[in-house]
Amino acid sequence: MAEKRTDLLRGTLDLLVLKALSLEPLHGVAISRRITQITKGAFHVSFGSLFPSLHRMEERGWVEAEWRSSDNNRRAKYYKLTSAGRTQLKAEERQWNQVVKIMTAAVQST
Amino acid sequence: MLRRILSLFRNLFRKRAVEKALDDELRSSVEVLTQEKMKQGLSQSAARREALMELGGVEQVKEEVRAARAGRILEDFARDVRFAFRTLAKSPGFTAVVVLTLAVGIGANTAIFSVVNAVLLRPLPFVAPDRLMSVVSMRRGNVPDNASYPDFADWRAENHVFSEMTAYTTDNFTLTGQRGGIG
Repeated sequence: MAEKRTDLLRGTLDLLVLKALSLEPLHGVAISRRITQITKGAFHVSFGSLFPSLHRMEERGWVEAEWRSSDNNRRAKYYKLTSAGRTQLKAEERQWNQVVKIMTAAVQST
Repeated sequence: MLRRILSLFRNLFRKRAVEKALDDELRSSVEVLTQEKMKQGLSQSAARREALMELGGVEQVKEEVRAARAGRILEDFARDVRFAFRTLAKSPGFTAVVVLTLAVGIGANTAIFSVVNAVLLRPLPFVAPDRLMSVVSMRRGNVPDNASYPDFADWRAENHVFSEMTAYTTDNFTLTGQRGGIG
């Protein structure tokens, strides 16, 4: 069950992370929680996938990292969407909607 | 693109700083998770254990991140090259045979290619080498022979086929140097 979820997630992880960051900057753990929240509990991203994805996106310039103190006065690395990241989010949303449309049509065809 | 190149250099040449940043990030994540579990009523040690379990092993996560970094391929390649040199240094006899084989092979190929290149591949140094013809006079029995200068003059005077004609002559001589004799 858990296996299947990560498989499904693999192609869409970047999109989910970008989406999770679209409202406000978050640190790694908060991103994971936000993804669980916006998928209504369906997805629990493993940190072994989340952190590589974040670092890759940072190298690509889609997110920027900054050390800040979190709620309870601990320092944490916060990730923030850059303008390139916003553009990427738009592009990935568009692409995702297209895939959904195509797959829905394909599955319903007789 | 520029950004990726910068990260590549950072990853390759400021490895310690990059590793420390990753270490700090994971350490802080463990603390955030521990805090979260303690709020749910776990004792500190139980919360920390749960936090580490949820993270899935700090070292494993680090390795996943390293694998995703720019320049991982270069790093692996550098490691492979170092390994290759160590292995070669360990068996100098084998290394010598391989180097010698390669040297002779490359040398022979270069020599052959130089000849083929000069003789077959490189076009002649004229304006339209494909329109260049050689005219020879033949002796009885279809043997090519030298033409005399008056022959050439006649050919040129009566030529209506070629746009230009020219003649050349060859000579043989021995190089002797100033003191007489070679060397």
